[in-house]
Amino acid sequence: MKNRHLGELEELTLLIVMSLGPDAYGAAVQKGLERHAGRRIALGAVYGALERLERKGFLTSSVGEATRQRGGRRKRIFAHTAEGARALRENRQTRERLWRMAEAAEL
Amino acid sequence: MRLRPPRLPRAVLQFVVSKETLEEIEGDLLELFESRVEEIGIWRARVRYYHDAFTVFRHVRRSARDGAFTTRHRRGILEAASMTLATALTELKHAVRVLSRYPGYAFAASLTLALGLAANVAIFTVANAVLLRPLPYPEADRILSIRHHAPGLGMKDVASSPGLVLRYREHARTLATVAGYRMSDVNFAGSGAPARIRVLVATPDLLDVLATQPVLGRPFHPADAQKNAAPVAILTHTLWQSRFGSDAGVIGRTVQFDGRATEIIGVMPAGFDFPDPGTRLILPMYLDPQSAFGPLGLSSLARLSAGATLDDARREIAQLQQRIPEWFPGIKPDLLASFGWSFTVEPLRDRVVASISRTLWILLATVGFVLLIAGTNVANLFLIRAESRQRELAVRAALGAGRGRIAATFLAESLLLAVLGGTAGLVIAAWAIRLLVAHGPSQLPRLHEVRMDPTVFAFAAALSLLAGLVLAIVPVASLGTRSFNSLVRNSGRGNTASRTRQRLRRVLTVTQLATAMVLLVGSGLMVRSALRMSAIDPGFRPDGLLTAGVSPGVQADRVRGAVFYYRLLEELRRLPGVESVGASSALPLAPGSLDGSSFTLKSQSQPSGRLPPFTMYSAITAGYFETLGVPLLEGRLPERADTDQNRSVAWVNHTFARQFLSGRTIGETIEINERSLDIVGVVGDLKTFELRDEAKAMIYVPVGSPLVGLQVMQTVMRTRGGPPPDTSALRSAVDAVNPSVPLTTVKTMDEILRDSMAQMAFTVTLLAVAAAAALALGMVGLYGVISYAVSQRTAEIGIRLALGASPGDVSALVLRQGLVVVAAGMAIGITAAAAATQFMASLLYEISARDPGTFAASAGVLLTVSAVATYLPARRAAAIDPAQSLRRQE
Repeated sequence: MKNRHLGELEELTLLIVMSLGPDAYGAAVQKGLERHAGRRIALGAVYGALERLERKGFLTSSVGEATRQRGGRRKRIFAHTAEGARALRENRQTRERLWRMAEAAEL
Repeated sequence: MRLRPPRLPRAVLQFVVSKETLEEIEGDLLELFESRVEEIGIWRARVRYYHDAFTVFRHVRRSARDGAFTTRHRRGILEAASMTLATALTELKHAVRVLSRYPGYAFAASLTLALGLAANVAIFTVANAVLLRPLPYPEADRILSIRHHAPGLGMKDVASSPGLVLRYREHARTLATVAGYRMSDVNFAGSGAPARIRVLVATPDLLDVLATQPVLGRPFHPADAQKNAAPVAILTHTLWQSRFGSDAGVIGRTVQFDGRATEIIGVMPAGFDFPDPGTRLILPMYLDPQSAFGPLGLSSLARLSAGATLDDARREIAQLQQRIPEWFPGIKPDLLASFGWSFTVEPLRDRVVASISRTLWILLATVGFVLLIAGTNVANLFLIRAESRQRELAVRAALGAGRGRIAATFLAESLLLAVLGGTAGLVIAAWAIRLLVAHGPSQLPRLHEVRMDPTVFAFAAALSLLAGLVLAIVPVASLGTRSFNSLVRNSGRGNTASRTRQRLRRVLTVTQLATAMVLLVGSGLMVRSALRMSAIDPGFRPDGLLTAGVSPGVQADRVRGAVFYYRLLEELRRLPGVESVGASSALPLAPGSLDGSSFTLKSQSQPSGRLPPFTMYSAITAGYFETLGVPLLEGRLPERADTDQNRSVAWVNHTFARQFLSGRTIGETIEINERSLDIVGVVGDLKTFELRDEAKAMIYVPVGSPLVGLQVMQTVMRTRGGPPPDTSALRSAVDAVNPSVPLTTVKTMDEILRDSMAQMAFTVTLLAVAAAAALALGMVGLYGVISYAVSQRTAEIGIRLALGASPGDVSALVLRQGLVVVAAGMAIGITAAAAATQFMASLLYEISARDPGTFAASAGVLLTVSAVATYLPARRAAAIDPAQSLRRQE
């Protein structure tokens, strides 16, 4: 049975992949994560998250074309799957529900 | 400039991922690196690069284990690598645990290794800097020193001459440039106290040969070295800093050197110290194109032309020797042959280090031996440990550990010891090197260049690893000689100590003792040489003698110049504690400048076709011989009137009289440099250059004689007890006569003697320390082996005692066992020493490399100390209580 749970880093990673669109590859994801999570994240950890997401079926990857940047080295481009988008949405709904409950309790 | 990321991570990663994945990873790493360089700077970007690469590596390993990414990874290699890594880590952890459980053993073993390694690293550091590293000039191996020899002239080395330098420059096609130079001294007032400084006087192309140009100003132009060119000078960095406050505005300024207004045109880079660090100034040298064959004594350097090799240059210079008679009319081939004329062309580096290279190689071999002994001790310890671990190993073998795995256990432990020892060794070596550089003899060439560099670290690492590997081989080899099963079967029974291993340990001890014997003989020979050298009579009484050089510079009027010295001597005589005074242009064993020339004797006709004899000469004042304690053998002593009345008189030394004067001495006349000198006295010999040399023929003339310049004289003072006058007292004595005259070296005669023996003393000290260390380590080894043997045989000895053997019998048994080992070690050691000491024959003084006395004494020392090392365990064996030792068996 597939583990469908999304860890925190996985969730952020998946969100960044979605927001980057066709430009989602290792280094770009790492930069985006660092900028938005506000902490240092090692490239190896990013790869780990991407790999787990791929195994869970939330991401697919393909080798991109060689470009003139980075000395003509090819990139592995990641794209989210419908399942990935659904998992994110579920996560968001769970959180919003919990937020509403927490705010209600505070009042 | 593009900033490149570190290269190491890529090299590691390529082993664990496929080419395509590597491309993706590398791209990401590179992109991040480049954006970070802008944000946080190159250094932090590099650190992050390493960190990222490491996390990627960890990620790749982990995902391979989980079975993902398999198509993208070289799975086989990765798994094998991580298995090995895991084994290594386990064994390493195990080794750390074992060593921390036996801290005494770990400490003893790694300290022994550390000392052995430190000695090697320290001496290697010196050898590396002095012998192996190129001189600090571009393409330094293409710089050649050209020298000539003419033993028939009575001089070892006659260097070159202006004539020869000019001819080589013109005709030698294998040499791109040929430069001439000599060392001199000039007076320099400048700012501060007047000083006498060392000057390199060189043809302008010397700087081309060395391929080193001034950092400030310009080099010499050929026009600077013309006959009537305006005087110019280039400062060394040292002089520029100390006397000109590193002021860049110094270029173009005019300064007085030896009273000549000289324009400063350049400053050499820091670290330029040709030919030695004493150089302060470079002046251009004029070479007369009409120069004849002589005068010899000009040093010459050349740079090889592009494409030419050392052998080419040697061949060409050899051919050019044939043309000397053609170049210099009057120099006939048979005259050259009668000099014994020859030449040497060698790389400058070989020339610079010639005096020390043999000593260093011998020291390197010596410390190698010390490491061998130290390593053997650790190997012995290791074997004992291996024996006491039989049970543990048996359990592991029974649980399925293969031979490789057992070997890995030993390897991990020995490598850990080696790393500990190597690290401690480096620290000790760094300290020892500082000591060596601070206290090494100052004449040791390139001593100031000694420092630890990557080569040294690589050497230290390689040596430590080698030691670790060899250490592991010993117990593994001893395991290998028996079937692996017997390891399991034998364990648990204490009295079946492996015979093989006992034998192996005895062989190790024999090796140690043999090595210690070689070192004892070597250092013994050096010590006896040094003793013989210090017993040499230098020809004077050194105690209580103080010397001080003064240099009034060039004096137009000779008699007035001579009067300066006599007035100075009067002032010095008045200083408290001074008994008598005198002065000479050259001191024994420290001749600053000594002139030599050929001469004829009036009463003897010079046989045609033979070379005129050669002698050296110096100027002296009245009181010089009395002050030094040189005996007058015939005639009278010098007096002041000799100078005042400008008498053409001379004294000769004993060697001169013996060599050239047959019976008739006083009244003989010497014709030298177009001057006639009447011999009025014969004095005892003084050693001229080195203590170990024979005395040279010498003529002494009164100060003021036109034969010898007056620029520099060395005063000598004999003091009676009490502290000798200090420099400021001497300075004020000079000031009383002429305050602008610099006072140069102030030294006691004892110091001069010590300096002349410094290199010998240095070698002796290091060899003696090495031999003492070898002896001590060897004894520890011997003691360890014998007492271990005793402890293994406790039961047997108990039975012997119970059956009626006397304690004396038991001691004799153990002693015999020890002495067999000692005798074998000594026999091998003596044979090896007889072969090894041949290499140090040239360092020895008046003693044969196979001196039987030294061999016997060394054998005696080894035997005595060995007897003690064996006696202690033997006594313990005799004291064994049979009842107790048998009870322990149950």
